[in-house]
Amino acid sequence: MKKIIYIASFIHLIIVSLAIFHVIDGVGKGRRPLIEKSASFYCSINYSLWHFGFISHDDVRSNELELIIYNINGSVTKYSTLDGFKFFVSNNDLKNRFYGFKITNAADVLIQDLCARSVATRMMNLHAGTTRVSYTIRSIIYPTMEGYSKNEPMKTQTVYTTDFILH
Amino acid sequence: MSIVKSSWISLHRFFTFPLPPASLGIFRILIASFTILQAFLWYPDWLSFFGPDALVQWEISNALVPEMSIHISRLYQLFAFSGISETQFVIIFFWIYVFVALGLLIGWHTRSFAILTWFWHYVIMCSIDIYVYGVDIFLQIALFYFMFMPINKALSLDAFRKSVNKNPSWTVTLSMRVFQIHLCLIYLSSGYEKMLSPGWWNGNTLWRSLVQPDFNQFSFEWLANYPWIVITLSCFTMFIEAGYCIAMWIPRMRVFWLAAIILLHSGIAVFLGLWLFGLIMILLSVSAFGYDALLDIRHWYKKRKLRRTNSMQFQTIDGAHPIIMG
Repeated sequence: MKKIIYIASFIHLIIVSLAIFHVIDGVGKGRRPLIEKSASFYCSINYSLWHFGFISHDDVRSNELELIIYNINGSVTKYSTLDGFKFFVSNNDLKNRFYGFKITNAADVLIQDLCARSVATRMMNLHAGTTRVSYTIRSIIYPTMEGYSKNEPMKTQTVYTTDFILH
Repeated sequence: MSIVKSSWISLHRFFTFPLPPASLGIFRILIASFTILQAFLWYPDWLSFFGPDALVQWEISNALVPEMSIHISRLYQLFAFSGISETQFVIIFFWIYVFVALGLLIGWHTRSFAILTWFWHYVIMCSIDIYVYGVDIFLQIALFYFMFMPINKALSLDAFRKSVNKNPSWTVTLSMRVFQIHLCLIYLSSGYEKMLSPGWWNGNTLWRSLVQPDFNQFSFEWLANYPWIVITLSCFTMFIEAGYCIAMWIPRMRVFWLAAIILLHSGIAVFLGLWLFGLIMILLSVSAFGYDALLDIRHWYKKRKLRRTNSMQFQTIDGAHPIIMG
């Protein structure tokens, strides 16, 4: 029994190492999908598949999610994640969760469509008398330190935009 | 004795020499307390994240997770026959999560509560896949290990009730070693990946992280005029992370490295506003290497005391010398 436990532990460490160092990312693509799928499933249980960055190169890219809510009485309410999504969550930890949300949103058109519909529905439920919700994702790239000291502006690009109108 | 044989004996000893279970007991208490703290921070917005009409609704969040994952809506299907509403189920789910984490904290039927806490947290992660970040990942890794580790051998109700063997054992050693090695691999990959990025060598990655609105806590734009400060901090981060896997096994360096890691994650918590992430990383490192670091400090203290006693003896002999001569 002792031997089996030791062998299992070493196999676990080997799989974790392969996942962390991206070795199983491409293992058996097409050739041995069973190995890749099994390793991925195992790592998804303990989340070892996660690639550790702690402020990786991805984190320097920022995204803004802007919601504009138009009311039947003519008033317009604007929410922006540049304000930290404070309108939605009650503490800093929950605010940090929207960082991942925005990254996921900016990555895939299908997710953007689905999330936009969901967020718009939620906003319409929260704000009585809403006639239109405008949903926009912008990518923000900050200048380098050298660029900033030369007054280089930050670059903003609209990645996705959609409007939901109630008839 | 050949080098191969002596290395094998050292390796064997490294993985099998029985260690006292106190460090695992502390690990369990720290992580279970963290789980409860995080749950209560979540409570005010629990329904906004997990409710059927959350910002990202069940239909959508369910569609985004892989088939084999367990979304909270799939769990609800099992209990739908009882007549409880989806919202009621989400609230009950929260309180069960707190209860199982509490069971883990006090160490009562520890193994069962460890499995339940892992499972509940797994469902949470699958249900809000798009909101998951580092803090959840590391908590899940720790909870995964709790299912197998003998975390009930110390500082637990199970140990108090004498239902477990509290003696040092090889299972404690193996558990600690696997966890320590996993942590070393994480830091090594993190440091290595940073080293591959030019943005870390010229400091721009760190600077952009400090000034962007997602993490911005203080005004750091002025740092652009002093790039050497940012470059030094970037290099410190890469050095500490990449060197973790070596320094933590060298008794002379372990205490300083652990202090440096605590400093690094405290910096992430304060200056980037990632309080819970900083906290869990500190807790993991302290749980993995804190006990060894404490032994190192005690060893130094004893050595220093012994040296002082010896030097005092020498002084006495020196002082006595003229009298003997006289």
